[in-house]
Amino acid sequence: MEIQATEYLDVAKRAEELGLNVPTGLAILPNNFDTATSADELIHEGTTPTIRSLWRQSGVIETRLEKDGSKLPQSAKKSADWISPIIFVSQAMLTNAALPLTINLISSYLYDLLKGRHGKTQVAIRFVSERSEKTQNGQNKKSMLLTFKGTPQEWKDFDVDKVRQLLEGKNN
Amino acid sequence: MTDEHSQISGEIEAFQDKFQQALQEGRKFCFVTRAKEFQLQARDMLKNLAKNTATLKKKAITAAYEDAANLLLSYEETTNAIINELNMWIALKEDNPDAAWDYLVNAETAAISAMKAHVSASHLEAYLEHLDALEHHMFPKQMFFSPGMIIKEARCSICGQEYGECDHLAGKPYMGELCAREIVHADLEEASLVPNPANKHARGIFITGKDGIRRDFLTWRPASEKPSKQAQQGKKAIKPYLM
Repeated sequence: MEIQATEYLDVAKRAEELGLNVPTGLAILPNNFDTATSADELIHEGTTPTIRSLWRQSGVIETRLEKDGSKLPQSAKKSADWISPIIFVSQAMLTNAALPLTINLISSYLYDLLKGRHGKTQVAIRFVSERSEKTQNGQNKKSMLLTFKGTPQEWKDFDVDKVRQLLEGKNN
Repeated sequence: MTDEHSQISGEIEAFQDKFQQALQEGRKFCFVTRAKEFQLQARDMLKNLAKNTATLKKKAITAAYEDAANLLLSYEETTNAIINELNMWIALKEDNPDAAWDYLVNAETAAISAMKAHVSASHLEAYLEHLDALEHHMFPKQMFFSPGMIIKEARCSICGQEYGECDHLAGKPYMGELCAREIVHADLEEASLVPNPANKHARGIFITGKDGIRRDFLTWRPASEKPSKQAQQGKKAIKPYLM
């Protein structure tokens, strides 16, 4: 499993700037959440509706950034690889049992979906999380975007607790 | 299990031997050395098998017996895969490699659909490896194109509702049908060359070499202005699943 970590912006502040709902627990961020100049430009990853449906059917609650009644377009995938939307996980949710459930739901679905293509298709799942760190000037909020890339089989065998640990800033 | 379901289970059990035998018979002709007339016969025999499978599936659907309907969908798609492989060999013998490529891709898509439809088709992993070997040994490495699109509206193929707002998931079987996300409205942004495309039908057909001659990529013959009738007839587009 290949893991990439990059710094990300303050999600709550950015959501307010764009006039969106501020996520509290679990949320899906548009692909260009960090670069869009206005909410009109926002585009979701093409896999967003599938993830939402999967969560809804399993009782996983998300905060929708979009205001009621508004919908964002989605980008269509170009390759056989499967890329998740950016999944925001709040600090409070990191210790919650809902996170492993959320990840297992996705990896089980993908294992079935990508049958016959297990050796050829890569799956990338992206998470953003925030954590507070004590600094000399007080508390400092830091956001990280973590991209986990592997085959469906690697995802099935993956210890989902590793995601939580990395999002918490352990093993960094 | 209801009486009706038990009756359908019995019919499927009785059908299974016939199905396996017919598939084996069909696969016997999936070789380049086998004569075309026998390949055509085998294809017709499998088309009849597909019709019988569809009739039984209809019964399962009417009885709301989902597992049986999905199993029979998997049988249909497995049969479809072998029919397409036979079509590929026939097309190659008819000097129509464009159609042969499309049939090979259809065979791969059908085998994958069979695996998604029911767990009983998981043995098709080995068949997919066979198709993969054919792709890499019989055809030159292709240049695939993939369109970048912004989807404005997409519907669920099962219930017709907006995709993502209903309880169906793309690629999952529901009462003998695989759910697909059908794009209703999208803006085309660009097209790119990709090594591992979502749709292998979208490929470069012509290439212009350093000599300035535009050639058919598969045959290397200088290309005529219009595509041949044969090549056009061989095109059978399949809707790619968007996940």
